[in-house]
Parts: sequence; C-alpha cells; structure tokens
Amino acid sequence: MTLSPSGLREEIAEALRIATALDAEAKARLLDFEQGNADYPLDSFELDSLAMMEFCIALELSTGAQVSPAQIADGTTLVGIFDLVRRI
Amino acid sequence: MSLQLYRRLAPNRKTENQLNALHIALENRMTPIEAFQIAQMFAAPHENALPVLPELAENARRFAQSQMQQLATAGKPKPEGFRRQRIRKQMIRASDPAIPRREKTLILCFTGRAQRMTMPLAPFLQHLDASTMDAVVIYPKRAHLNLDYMLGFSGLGDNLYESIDRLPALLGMEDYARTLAIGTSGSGIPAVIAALRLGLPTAVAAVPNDPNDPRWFDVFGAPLPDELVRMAKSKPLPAIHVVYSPDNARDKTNAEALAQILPVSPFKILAPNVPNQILHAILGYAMSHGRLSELLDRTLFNSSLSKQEIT
Repeated sequence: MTLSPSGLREEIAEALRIATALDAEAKARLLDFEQGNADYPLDSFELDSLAMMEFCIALELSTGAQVSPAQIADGTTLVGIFDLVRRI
Repeated sequence: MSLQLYRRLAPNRKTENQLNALHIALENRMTPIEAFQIAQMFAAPHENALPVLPELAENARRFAQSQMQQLATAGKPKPEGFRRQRIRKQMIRASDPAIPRREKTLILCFTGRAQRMTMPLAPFLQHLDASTMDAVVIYPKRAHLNLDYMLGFSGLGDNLYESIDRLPALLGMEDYARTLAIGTSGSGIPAVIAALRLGLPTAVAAVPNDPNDPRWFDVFGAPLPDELVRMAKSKPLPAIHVVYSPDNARDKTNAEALAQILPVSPFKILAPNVPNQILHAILGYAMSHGRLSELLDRTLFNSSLSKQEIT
C-alpha cells in the first residue's frame, strides 16, 4: 500500500487515537504531527503494553506495514515510526 | 469454548499483530477455566500440534505462559468455576450455574475503553469466588470507546441512565442476595452512577475519568456533578471507593474531583517512579504485585467508608 507522506502521518495519528485515550494536550501534539509541523516521542503519549499492541495492530490494518511492538525502541518518535513504516 | 475458538482462528493469523489481536480479544472475555485450558494446550510437549504458524509459536507460548502467571496471582490451586454466558451484545455473565442466585452476590463490572478493567478478565475473575459471586461484564460499543458509556450500552435505551435502569429486570438482580458495581478509567463514573441509581451498597471507581468532563452536559443537559448529587439524594448513599495512585497526577486530580462531589473512600496505591500508563492500569498493577485480593477486600467487599492506603 503506497501512501503519501501526509496520508501516512494521518494513519499513524489515527492508529494512536485507536490505541489509547488522548487528553487535549496529546490531541494537539498529534495534530501538529499530522500537519507535518512537529515530531514527538511516542513515550509522550503514555502507551502501556496493551496500547502499544493496539497501535501496531491498527497501523498494520491501515497501512499493511507489519511493525511489531518489539521493533519500536524506547525513545522512538512519531517521525521514527513514519520512517520505519516507509522502509517496510 | 475459547480453546476451540483459538484452535480455529489462530492458524489463520499470519502476522504477530494479527495474533496479538486475537490474544487481546480472548483476554477480554475468557474465564479462568478457558485461560487455563489454553495454557495447558501450550504446556503439552508436542509443538507440532500448536495451532499457530511456526514463526509465531514463541509469541503464542508467551501468551499462554502469561495466562498461567496471571491466574497464579490469586493464589488458588485451580481455576474458579465461572462459565461464560452471553446476555446481550457487549454483555456477558460469568457464573457457576449450579449455585442458586439467592446465595450469591452479583458484581456489575464495567470495562473501560480497552474492553477490560485495566487487566484481562480471567485473572480478575480468578480473584473472585464463583461459589458466592456472579459477574456481569459490560463492554463499551466499539464506536463509543471514548464516550464513557454516556450513550448507553448493549442497546439498552439511548443513554447511560436508561441502560442502567434496565439492568435489574434484564439481569434478574432481585434474585441475588446483593449487587455491587466496579468500573475502571472511563467506566469508573458509570459504576458509581449504577450504584446511585440502583441503590447498591457499594461502588468502586478505579482511576475514574474527570467528573467535570463537559461532555456529560452535552448528553444529559446538566453538569455531571449536579446529577450525581441529585441521584445521591434519592436513594441510600452507597459506599463509594475510589482507587488510584497519587503518583499519577491526572488520576489524582480526577479522584479528588469526585471526592469534591460525593463522599468517597480513597484507596491509594503509592508507587513513586512508576510510569503513568502503568499506574493508570491500576487493577493490573495491583494484580502484578500480588495486591489485588487485598484491594478488592478493602474496597468492593467493604461497605464502610474510610481512608485507606497501601504501598
């Protein structure tokens, strides 16, 4: 599945929204990322192990990229996820 | 049932994420007996018989091991005898049908947006006693995961209040010796509302969401705090226990906000330097530290109000 850069950012953001409840501040950060304005560590969205699995599941469903929780290192940012999906 | 389901569905899972999705769905609904059966299947020595692709066997084995580890936290020699029965969409009853309801307590379990009470269902049930308790587990509709049940559940009425008011007839609540309610995160407030509206003796709200969330006004036309006070005046006040860690700032703020509205008994778990997301999964955190039985005894099964704290 080929997605434009903006399309892929949208899918990453949507996968995060599916995976976990986001407060207003987190939603604003995600919107920043979606619009290509900023990058944030995935840790800042406070995903527990279950939410991390849900994130990877949602990402695979929407992009076809098989990113597993184990592939996402500590400190990975949203742009890091973007690059990872593009490489797969 | 889940064992057969696993045997049927797992071979079709081609990726780790697909298998994880199956594991999560099962964990949200399996009884202790079912979790035990799956763990036993993986404990058998013939790896060729495992119903997963070879490259996913390690993932599946970890899942099976975690079932046993989680059940073991209750410290019981065998799985509790709960059988799962579907009541409606997004609602199941876990019970031992051989034991009459009049001898049992019914526990209304409201799951959060992750379709669980911050921990898998089987180990939660394993911490209950199937000979004296039934559990009805309520799940949010997929399209309503972030709405804290405001629009109701299981197709019962059009909003949370209407859904709750239909529970006694649907569940045969009058057949039970008593009914209690527990909810976590987005379902913490709904559990309190259930206790208030139905006149239950006890409610547990574990890491409840913000009671001042303006969306309640949007749905019900009145601020939730006003509604809670109004409901509290119409029936005997339940013992309301609020479970949270003061080391999670947001959960602390929300718990304190609820305490500003209703008389509640705070049950605090002190855990400095533990990440917020782990502390928010508070029942799971208590389970993994061998404290869930104590937590339930001092909250759900305790009808008195007092300040409590464990470390």
